[in-house]
Amino acid sequence: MKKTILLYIALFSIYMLNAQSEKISVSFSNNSTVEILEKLEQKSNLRFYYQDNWFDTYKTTNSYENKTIEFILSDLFSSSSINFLIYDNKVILTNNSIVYQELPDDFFKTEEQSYYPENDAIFYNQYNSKNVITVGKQNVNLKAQEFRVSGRVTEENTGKPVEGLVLILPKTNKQITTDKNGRFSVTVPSGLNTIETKLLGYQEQSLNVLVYGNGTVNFKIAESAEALDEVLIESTRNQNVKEAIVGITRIDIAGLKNIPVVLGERDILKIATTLPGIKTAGEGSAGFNVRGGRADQNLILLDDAVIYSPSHFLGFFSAINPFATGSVDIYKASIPAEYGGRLSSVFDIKTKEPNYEKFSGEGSIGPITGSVNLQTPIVKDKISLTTAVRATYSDWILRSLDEESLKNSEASFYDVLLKYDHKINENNKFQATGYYSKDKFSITSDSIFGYNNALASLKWDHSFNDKHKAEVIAVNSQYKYGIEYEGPSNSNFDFDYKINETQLKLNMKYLHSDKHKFTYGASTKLYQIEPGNLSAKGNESIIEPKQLNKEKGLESAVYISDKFEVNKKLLFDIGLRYSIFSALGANTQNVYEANVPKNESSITEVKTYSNNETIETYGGAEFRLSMRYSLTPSLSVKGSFNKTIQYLHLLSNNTTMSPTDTWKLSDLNTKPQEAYQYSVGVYKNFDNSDLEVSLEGYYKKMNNILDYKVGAELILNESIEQELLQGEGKAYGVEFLIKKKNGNLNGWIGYSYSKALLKLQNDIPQEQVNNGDYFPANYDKPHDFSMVLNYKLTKKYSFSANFIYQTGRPITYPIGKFNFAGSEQVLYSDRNQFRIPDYYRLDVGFNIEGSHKLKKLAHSFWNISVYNVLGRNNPYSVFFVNNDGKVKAYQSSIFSIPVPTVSYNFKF
Amino acid sequence: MKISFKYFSPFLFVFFLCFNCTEEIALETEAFEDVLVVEATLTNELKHQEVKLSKTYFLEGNSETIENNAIVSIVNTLGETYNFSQNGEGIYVSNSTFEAVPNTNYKLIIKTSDGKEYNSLETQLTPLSQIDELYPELTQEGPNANKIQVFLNSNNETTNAQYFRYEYIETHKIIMPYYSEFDAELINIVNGGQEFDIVVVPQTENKQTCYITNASTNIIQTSTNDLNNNIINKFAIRTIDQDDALLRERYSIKVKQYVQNFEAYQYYKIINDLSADESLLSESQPGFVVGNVKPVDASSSKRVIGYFDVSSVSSRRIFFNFNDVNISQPPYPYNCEYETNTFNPTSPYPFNNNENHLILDYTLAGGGGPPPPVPNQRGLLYNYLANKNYQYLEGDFPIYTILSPACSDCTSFSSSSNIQPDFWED
Repeated sequence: MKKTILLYIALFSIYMLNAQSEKISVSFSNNSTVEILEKLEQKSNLRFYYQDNWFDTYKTTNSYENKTIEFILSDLFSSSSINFLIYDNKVILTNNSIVYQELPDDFFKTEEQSYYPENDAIFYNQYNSKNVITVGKQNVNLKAQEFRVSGRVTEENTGKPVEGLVLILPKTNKQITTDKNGRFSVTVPSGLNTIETKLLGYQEQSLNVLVYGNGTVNFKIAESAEALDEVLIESTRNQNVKEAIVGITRIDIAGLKNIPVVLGERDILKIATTLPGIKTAGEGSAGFNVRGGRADQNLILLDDAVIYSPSHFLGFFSAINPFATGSVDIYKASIPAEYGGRLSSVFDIKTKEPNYEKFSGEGSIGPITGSVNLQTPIVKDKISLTTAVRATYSDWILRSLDEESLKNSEASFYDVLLKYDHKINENNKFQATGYYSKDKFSITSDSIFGYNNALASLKWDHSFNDKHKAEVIAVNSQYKYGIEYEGPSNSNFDFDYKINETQLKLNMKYLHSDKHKFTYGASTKLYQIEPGNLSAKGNESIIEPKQLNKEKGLESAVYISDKFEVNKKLLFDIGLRYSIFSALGANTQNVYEANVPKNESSITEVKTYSNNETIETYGGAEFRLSMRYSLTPSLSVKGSFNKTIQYLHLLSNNTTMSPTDTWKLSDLNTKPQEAYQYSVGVYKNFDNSDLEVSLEGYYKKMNNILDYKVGAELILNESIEQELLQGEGKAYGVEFLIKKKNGNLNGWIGYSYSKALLKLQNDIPQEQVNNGDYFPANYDKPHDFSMVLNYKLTKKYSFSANFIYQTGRPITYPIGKFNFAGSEQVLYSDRNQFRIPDYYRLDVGFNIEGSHKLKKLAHSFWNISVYNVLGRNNPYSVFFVNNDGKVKAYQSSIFSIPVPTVSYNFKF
Repeated sequence: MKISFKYFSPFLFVFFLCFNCTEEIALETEAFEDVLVVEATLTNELKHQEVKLSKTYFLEGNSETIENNAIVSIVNTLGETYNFSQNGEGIYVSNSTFEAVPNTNYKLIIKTSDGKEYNSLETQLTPLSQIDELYPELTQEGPNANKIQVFLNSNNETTNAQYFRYEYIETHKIIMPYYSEFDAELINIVNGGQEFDIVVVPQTENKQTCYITNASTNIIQTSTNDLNNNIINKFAIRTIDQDDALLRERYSIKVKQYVQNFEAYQYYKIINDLSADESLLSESQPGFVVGNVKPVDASSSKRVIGYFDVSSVSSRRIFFNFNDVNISQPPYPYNCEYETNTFNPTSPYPFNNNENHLILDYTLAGGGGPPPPVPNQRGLLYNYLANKNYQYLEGDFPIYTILSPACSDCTSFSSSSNIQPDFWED
């Protein structure tokens, strides 16, 4: 007995430490208890949590001189039923002995899903949220550290038990599922616990359970089909403030439906570009530029497999069926150690969670595309199948049109996704995903460009025990493109490019303790590239076939990381990755004389390598460090340092109209790219984390960034290294984001100021660009403002608008003409000296929800939107052609007029 | 089914018309940079060497500007200085004749009238080479099938010459299909041609046979670097269509072969690549091409376009006719035959169907009368003779036959001369 009292005293004195040290003087004259509490809140640095209706109208007059809060409160509540606890700068009042066995009837009908983060609250605020459940009788003499909480989950409408609901307890990293009677039981530490629920087809809930003893929590959950208040960008409630990593963006596809779309497509990656730090070079360019990185520096993963061309129609639609997409996590700064091989970011796209329960589907019909996603259990609760198909009918319609100018055009794409999920048993889970996409369209009237992605991903999850888990992943990705040219002359050709990679990866998780959570693993990846095949098309063609040597490389890595929670305030995420890359034969490599320009006259030797012979090996340690310090539960500062190495490079012509980008491996003459990023951020949530505000800054230094000599030709070039320059890159910026997640008005406003600079300095004038000074990269767009807002007029109607403003991207512009060697030539400015006009665009959309009858078979809504309402002619590129000795300028733009769209979406 | 197309087509129409709108825009010089352009190729020919200095001009502009009043000289490591003076065309010509000699460094020095100085890097004469063969051939297959190509062979196995640039100058003879010993003069012109007299006088000028000379306007280069042997074999210098009038009478081409060093070769090549028509697979990174002429003031960011090339040169001229390459005579490029519609019974007046060859009646002066209206052939006669340089062929008052200059006056063509060049061999 003595022991426990001592323990209690010890514990309590820690809790009281802050409060005890602070003494205040205060006086009350005829104040209500609420008024007194407000006064105390002002006087001290403490926050009080209580519910008004606990207090009677009794008025107090009293004064305290230099007393501790504890003393004052004890005095104040000496004769009342109110208990108090001073804890971590908070005063938690409880009307003791109230145990909620059941939630109020209107519990889940509240529009706001308030969440009170760990240690933050145990309170009923003045509003109508009643989201804390107390379990067990509150007892100041806490004896046990852990209690058993059990309960039953039922469906809100039918009262049927919910089976297979995943309950996640982030505090202890536990995951449990409800049995077929909807029952669960779990051991939790005393104090505030959060229970998050997850099951496809149901709204995700987050409950705050204040545990004082063993007890029961029964609750109801609602089906998500009726959920109209899906949040737009889900940061998993205060996670933005709590987690250690900097620069992460999470997008949840469920929330995207209100955003204005073009041609009826909800596009997860397009949405990403409205967030600070993620840009595209322009409409019609397929890549992303993340924090001043080149478009090839993003690891875009679909269920762990790399997707090389993540878009259709040159970036106009994302290549992944929106209905098959569950979520995307974009890491812009702190890249987890498990990922590597790209400098700037990871886009971790996950397909939709399987539905083991019942047949369900979603789809949409738009003017250009139709898509559908179907999920069905094969064996209930064990095996589920997901199929998603999307296609354009454009080609079919084009051919049927009478319009001569369109008749010979070709434009089509489709993508198919198939996923198999198998819960083998409690400790084993298997997932297989297959994906294929194909695009085909005319670039010019006499050529057809086609590309396709194919990927397969197998994943096996295994839990050894509660603490140790493993993931084994095997993936294969392939990207191919081809150009078929059939012109008026007899120079018809076929051009093909192909990259294929196969990866094996092992991820291990070891939840050592509350303080240390380890992840570690290893991966190895084989690249095979066919950099270009040119063949004659037809018998007439006089094109000489050309085939470049295949490239092969092996990239392997081991990694370990630890989430080290020093204390409640300070959290480190320390990661180390060691990667190694070998360029492999069979191949030939040119050896060049040192310190002279790499050109055909400086080749000293041509080395030949046999199959699988190592040409060159590169490697290095990549540190991934980040930390978070919580100033208050809703305010934190974070910092990170990140090093990344990239062995694969995209050769992308800067001015090109045709998407003939090719990926190339590092080899004897091409070194891997490296980046070092430092970032800091401040994160603050307001209004129970409904409003998130963040400010991040970064500085990034890059080495061996690829660029090209003046006059470089990148396609079918056998000695491409002669055209390449490797220089330094530098990027810095600040990013501001304010995000409102709930309510009638929601959305976000983002702004970033950033610079992306390159320096190609060399003693050899031909190998230096712009005198060896820093110059803006092609995608340098300093000002970037975007606003995405939704306003819900009624349950049925909502209005949305996007506005985007960006500085125009830099281009190399002719600044004069001259005569040389008998003809007119153009004098170009310094590289990227000028900018195309600023980009801005306003889109508006209007959504009409279908009927909300609960028993209705399908839930539907209409989306009417107008893309580019202002009809702004945003130039995408400006280029120059020398025709018969005369120079002409052309500008290309995409959607220079407002484009209206109506689409019908349904879900069942 | 048609209904659904109609429903969709407005969207699609918008989509495909606007998905990628490429439009020509006006070329505007946003920030003009006045840059000196140097074209200087010093050769191993003993002659007055030439240096051309010009300046960049506006994108909207059409004509180059000559850099006048510069002080130009070439110095070498033998301590010799050669000064240059501007000639009538603005080109700088050396005051004395000289030739580049091997194993000597040459440097071009320019001081422009605004006081800025530019020097080239020191450059040596490239190895000697010669054109072994230059010959025309009718190509049988490939993209140039059925075209006449002038091929060049040069064996450089004994020299280090690897990079070559070519210029050519071609001359062809033309003979007018119609020609008269006489010329028509207009006198007693009343009221701007309402009335006039035509006097037939003997022709004083040779307008029948001319020689048209043109120089190459593109950069022609080749290298033997990626060949196994240092032999240029059958390199096409010039390609001519079978029915090109160049080959109608007699054709001559003189090819100059400049041996370049790698840097000069690369400079010309990039300039050429940047201006070439780009196909789907070959677009190149635009930018400023760095040459070997630099401002003396190293801190100056002033750029200079151009190259000081010291090249060994060799040349060769050939002549050939269409029958030498076994093709039929190319037709005259213009239709010069008289054409009339004599079968039009409704018109009582002669009817000219080919504007190149007209028969006009002075007495038909337009105006009223019963339909059909009278053509104003007198007015046409005046206008063609007085203003359009038509040539008299035959006829007396009132009916004259006249021909357009394209059919009757060879001096009317550009770069044409009615004097036989000295080198010409028939």
